[in-house]
Amino acid sequence: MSQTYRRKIRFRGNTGNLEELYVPVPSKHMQVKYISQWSDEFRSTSNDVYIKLEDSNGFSNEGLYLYVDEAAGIKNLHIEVDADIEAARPKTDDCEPPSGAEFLLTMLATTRRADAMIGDLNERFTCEYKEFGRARAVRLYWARTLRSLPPLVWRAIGKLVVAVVKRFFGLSSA
Amino acid sequence: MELTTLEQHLLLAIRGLHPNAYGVSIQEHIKDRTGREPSTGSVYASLDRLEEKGFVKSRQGEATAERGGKRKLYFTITAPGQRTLRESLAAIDALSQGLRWKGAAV
Repeated sequence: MSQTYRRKIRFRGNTGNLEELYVPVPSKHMQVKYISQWSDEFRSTSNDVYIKLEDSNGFSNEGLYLYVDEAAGIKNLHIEVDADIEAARPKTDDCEPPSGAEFLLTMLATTRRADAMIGDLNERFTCEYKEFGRARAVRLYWARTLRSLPPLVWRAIGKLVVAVVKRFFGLSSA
Repeated sequence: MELTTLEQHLLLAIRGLHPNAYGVSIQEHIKDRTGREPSTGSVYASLDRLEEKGFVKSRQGEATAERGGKRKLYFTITAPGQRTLRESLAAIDALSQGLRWKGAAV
C-alpha cells in the first residue's frame, strides 16, 4: 500500500564551499520511493546565480541529494524543488509496537485521549523502527510511555480530588 | 487566567500548526523550537486542562496503519484561548521590557 504526496521541498541555508547539498524529505514519516519531477535550476537570492544540477538522479530513502556545480562562494541559497514523493506505508510484519502500554494509558485517561496517546506512541515507534531497528525502537517506546505516566497520574489525582470536594461540599457546576 | 510555560508552548504550537495540530506534530514543533520535547503524557494532561478551561477544542481525525488503527486527536485554539495567550505573552513582554542583559551589545 502506498500513497503519493505532492510536496514542495525547500532548502535554505549557507552553502559555503559545498559541492553536495542534501535536502531532507519534509516529514520523517515519509520514505521516498521515487521523485518524478523537479526543476533543474535554482536561483540564489544574493546574486541571482543559477546553479545547474550535475546529477539529477541522486536520492536516498530519506531525502534528495543534489550535486551542485560551481556552488563555491554562493551564500543564502534558496532552493525549491517540486517533487512527487511516493510515501510508502511501513511494513506491518515484525514492526508491531510492544503491548502493555495500552493498558497503562487506558487506566489514566479517557478512551478518546488514551487512543490518541497510544496512536502517537505507535506512530513514533513505526518511524523509529525504520530508522533504528526494533531493539532501540522498543526501548524508546517504553521510555516515552514511562515518562508519560507521572503527569497523567497527577492529572487523574487532581480530577479525583476536585470530584470528591465537589461531592462532599455540595459544589456543583449545574 | 495564568498559563504555565508548557501551556503557552502548546497554545503557540496549536496556533502555528493549524489545522494539523495533533500529539506528535505538537511535540515535534515544540522540540524543534525550544530544544526540549515534552512527554506525550504531559502534552495530553495539559491539553485536557486547557480543554476544560475552554481554551482549546479537539476533534477526532483519521486512523492510519502506522498508528495501529488509533485515531488522531486534532486540536484548535478557541477565541478565549487566543485572548488568554495574547495576554500571557504581553505580560512576559512587559516584564522583560527595559532589561539589559549582561554581556549583550548596547
